[in-house]
Amino acid sequence: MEDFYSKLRKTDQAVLQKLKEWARKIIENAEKERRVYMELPVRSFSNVYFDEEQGLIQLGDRMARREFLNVGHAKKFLQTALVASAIKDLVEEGITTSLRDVYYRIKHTIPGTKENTVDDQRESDKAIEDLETMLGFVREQLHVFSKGGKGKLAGPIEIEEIVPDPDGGRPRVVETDGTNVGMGGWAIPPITEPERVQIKRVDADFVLVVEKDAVWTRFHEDRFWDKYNCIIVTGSGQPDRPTRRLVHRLHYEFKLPVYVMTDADPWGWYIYSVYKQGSINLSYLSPTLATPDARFMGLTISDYHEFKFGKEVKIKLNDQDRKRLKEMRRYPWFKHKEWIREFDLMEKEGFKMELEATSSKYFRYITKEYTPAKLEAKAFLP
Amino acid sequence: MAKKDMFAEFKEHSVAEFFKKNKQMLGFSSRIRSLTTAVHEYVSNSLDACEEAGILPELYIEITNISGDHYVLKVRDNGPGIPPDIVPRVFGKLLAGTKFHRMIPTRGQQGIGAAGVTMFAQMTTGKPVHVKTSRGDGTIYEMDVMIDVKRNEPIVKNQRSYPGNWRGTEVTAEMREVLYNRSKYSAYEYVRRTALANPHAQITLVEPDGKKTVWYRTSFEVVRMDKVGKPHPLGITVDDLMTLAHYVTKARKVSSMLRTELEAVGTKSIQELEKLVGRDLLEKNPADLQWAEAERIVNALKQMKFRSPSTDVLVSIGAEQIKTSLRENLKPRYVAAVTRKPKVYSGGIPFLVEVGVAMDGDVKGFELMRYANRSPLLFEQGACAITQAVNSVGWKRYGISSLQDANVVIFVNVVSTHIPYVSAGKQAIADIPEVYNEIRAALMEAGRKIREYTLKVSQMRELLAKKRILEHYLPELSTALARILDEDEQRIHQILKSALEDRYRRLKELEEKIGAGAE
Repeated sequence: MEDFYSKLRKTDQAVLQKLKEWARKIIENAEKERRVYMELPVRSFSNVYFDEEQGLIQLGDRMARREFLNVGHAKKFLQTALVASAIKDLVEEGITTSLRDVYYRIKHTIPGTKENTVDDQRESDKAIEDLETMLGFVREQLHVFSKGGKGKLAGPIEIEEIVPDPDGGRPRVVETDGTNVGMGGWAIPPITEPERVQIKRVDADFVLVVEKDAVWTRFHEDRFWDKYNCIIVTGSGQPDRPTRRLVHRLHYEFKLPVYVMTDADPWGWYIYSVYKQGSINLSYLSPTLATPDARFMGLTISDYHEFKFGKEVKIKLNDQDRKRLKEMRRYPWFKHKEWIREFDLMEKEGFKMELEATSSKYFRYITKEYTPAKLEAKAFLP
Repeated sequence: MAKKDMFAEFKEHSVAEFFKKNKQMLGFSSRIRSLTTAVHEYVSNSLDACEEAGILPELYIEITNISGDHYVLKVRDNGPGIPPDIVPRVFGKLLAGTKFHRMIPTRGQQGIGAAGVTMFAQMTTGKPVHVKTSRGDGTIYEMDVMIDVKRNEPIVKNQRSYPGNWRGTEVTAEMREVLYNRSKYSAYEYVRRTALANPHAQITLVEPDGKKTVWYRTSFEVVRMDKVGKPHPLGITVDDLMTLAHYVTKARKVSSMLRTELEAVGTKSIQELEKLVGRDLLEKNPADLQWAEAERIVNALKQMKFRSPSTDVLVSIGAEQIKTSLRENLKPRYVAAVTRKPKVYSGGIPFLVEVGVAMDGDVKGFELMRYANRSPLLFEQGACAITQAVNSVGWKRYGISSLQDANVVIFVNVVSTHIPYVSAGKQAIADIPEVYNEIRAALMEAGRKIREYTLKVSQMRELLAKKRILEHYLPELSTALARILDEDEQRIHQILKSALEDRYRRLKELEEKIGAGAE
């Protein structure tokens, strides 16, 4: 307990220290070089690449200067400084807030003008992302989370969570046993950094990530995690950062294999790649969020044939699906013969299929036959 | 009504009738314009007389309102004075042609002359004009002058002379059906523009409400117009020729009239002309010359070749003088001027164009000032080649995105022994290609000069706008950074502010350059 708490305090101290260094650098440069600037990595698509060796979408090393005295940069510069100052408040006061809160905290009319410091939450969000890259701490360590609450988990796992004290006193520690949770499972909190969430014990053999919330509930109700000794996770569609972070940690801290299950459609397959390689937007976070060793369980178009589903389950591809498919063919991380075969099949046969379609055979088909068969055969895609 | 008809009737009717029928064309149309015309006739006479005598002009103009549309105009100059025996002809005989035979670029070419004012005053009030003049020889003459409308001859009354040490001429005319104000066609505007184009003249104007305005001299250079020449055959118009034939020449044949009254016309030219218009016409008595015949002669002359008239009779204001005048009178932030070299049009008529541009500072709005031989052209703006040339220039290229929205005065003076007017009203210059192109070229040359200024101004505006934005952001940034550093906000603000000032040092340099009104 003492250890856990001091870890958070140490990180907080380091964040405050780093913020100060960052601001001091700006002032010192202003005095010496007569220029007011900050240096930060270029986060545009042109500086993002796929790291074959690590299997991660990574940010390149190109740097850019943001100069206050350049009118084109000035507003962004100011926004970044305002967010940095708000973060200092958050860390010092020991509270966490959402991106939306930060947006409202720094939003005000600049005296003498009709202009607001920020007009769109995207501006403050970007400022936070920029600070993450400049300070070397992730947003969660800066006490800021996104909406969160999309992720769920159940299975043989024991978790300790830090809950801040509303009066600024010593935080409480809440323990959760993943086998003793209700139908909603354990709600993955907005921040799953080690400073706040400690995984005390894991008895599972693997992690099963299910794209959709409703399908995950099927697995949970059927106590799939008990029967197959696994941890079941869902990100309810496109996973948020804490969910991805937790899957990453389960893999790296406990060496658990990670299997992902999504709809057989371009969107589902892309969600798999986000768990696995990271995303282009958050490429600088891939090393802590992505799990390159994750494997794809299904659904695939081959599954449709192998498990002999009826043609009623087919959904015709629309134009958007075909467009997305074309884009995905270009992604270097999908350049595996197995995936190319699936892309070809989908394109040729012109349909997609949802996880829920497995119920066309009977309810529980997915937990009773499909998944066990897949696990048995170790029939995973890279 | 065309000038042709004007002359046809002139022969048959009295001058009063002639004047009434042609009031419009002679400049006595609207109430405002009539007064402007009267001022023009007197002021241009005064300026011309001073220049011929090598005197720095000093004019006093006073307009008083008796009641309603009833005004008194008084114009006094320090000119050479008019010999008393000439006074009746100058003020009491219409189309006396006193100026015409002198081939110099005078203002008096424009308009009907001082006798026209006498006619107008007489018609509207029944009263003579009062003239006081002295040649500085110790005797002052005063007299009332009217026109015998049946014979077009002067009537002089109340003539007297007395000793006095004064030199100059003062005319007082009482008239009705006129109106004074400060509109763009007004006598006020006429005087103001005259002052701008005649920096060597000091002009005082006393308006009906007693307001006195003095335009001081910005140049002390005497303008001399002593190079007298004859009209050039290529520049002569039909009515010029008619005036020559009927009122000026003493020759008994058209051919000898052309030889004696025109420049560069010799026996050879007459022989050539004979082939074009026939011998009979050239043998005619000038007094019997009809409009159509004069037209034939003028057209024929245009097809012939003549020695070019000399250009040294062209008297320009000069770029430096224009700049000084615009700067002193308009108090602009920037001024540029161009005086082009003389050119010729229609095969040999010399002319030259000068352009002045004054921008910003006290200059508000757009104003085009047109001049012919320094005399302001207030009317018929749309028909004038100067206006057309100004409109044809792509001012955007010179940093003025829209003339109408800019604070700029464009001053154009066309100097020539024969200004090619559009009509007898002599208020618009015809768009003869050579003249039009030369005006354009002058405007563009001036444009290139102002581009340097407008560029600096727009750079400055842009920089200033940028700096303002940063100045608004600066306190916000200082607060945020000071909060992170737990340091004094003032100190942080000082450091950032000084970096900002450093960055915008160029702004100051620009401001200084523009402030100096550099070329």
